[in-house]
Amino acid sequence: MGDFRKLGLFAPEPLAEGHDFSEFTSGRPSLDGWLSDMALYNQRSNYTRTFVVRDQEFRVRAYYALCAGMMMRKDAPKIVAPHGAPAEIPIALLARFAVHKEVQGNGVGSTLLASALRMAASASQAVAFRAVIVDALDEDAARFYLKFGFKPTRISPLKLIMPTHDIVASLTG
Amino acid sequence: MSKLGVGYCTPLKGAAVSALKKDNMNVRVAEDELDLIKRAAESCGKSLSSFVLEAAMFSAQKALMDQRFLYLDADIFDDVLKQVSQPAKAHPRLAALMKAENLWATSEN
Repeated sequence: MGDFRKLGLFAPEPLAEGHDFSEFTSGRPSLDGWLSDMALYNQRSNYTRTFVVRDQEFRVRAYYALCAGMMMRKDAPKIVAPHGAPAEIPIALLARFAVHKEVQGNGVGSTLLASALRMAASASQAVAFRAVIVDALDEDAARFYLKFGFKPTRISPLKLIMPTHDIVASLTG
Repeated sequence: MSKLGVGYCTPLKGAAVSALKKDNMNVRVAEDELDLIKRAAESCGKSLSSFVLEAAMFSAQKALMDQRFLYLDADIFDDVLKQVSQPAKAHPRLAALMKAENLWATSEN
């Protein structure tokens, strides 16, 4: 159980105009820059869906962004299975995931990851996809995801995957 | 830091400056382009090489994270397909996390 009241953090909510992300600092400029430059535009135009954990002053303290994606086989499958072997795998991409430096190390990240995966599992009931993919920025980030069941792929040791039905199994099992 | 956005003037901390063995990268660049980059690096108080490296790291991370369409070689695609076709399996640590009840701040407290 995580008690985030002492940190003054509110449960994840969709990113909206009123959120203050001007001072968001995760220690990774590519994650901070995206939040200030792209997140709201992408939210309005339905390119990515961003959820934030914010404090009393509406300052963003952690966020994640999800969008749809696709893995495609360069050549058509050789062996045609009874229903035809798929040449595409629809995925959900955990495109961005970051926690503000000031609240790192309090379980905010793992709780937000669980929230993101729960959201993904629920979205998959309406729009099917077979896995959640995340590109870990480095070994440290990868270790975080591996701890909760993501697996490396042959695409890259840092391109990690979790099948949708595994998320559902973890939710219900 | 300005509100204009986070960019290469922001120092990359920790992992960005790798302690691993360094390799060289040679890049041909037009004179006026190099001048522009030098001026920008100077304006941030950075060496040319650290400015260029940080900018490249920023773009590289962004490119990888933005990759929502992955064209995969057949053998890699087939491996990934196999990976997602295994029987469903709960992950104990994730399951525990999913079940945890969290207490969040509310507007009342």
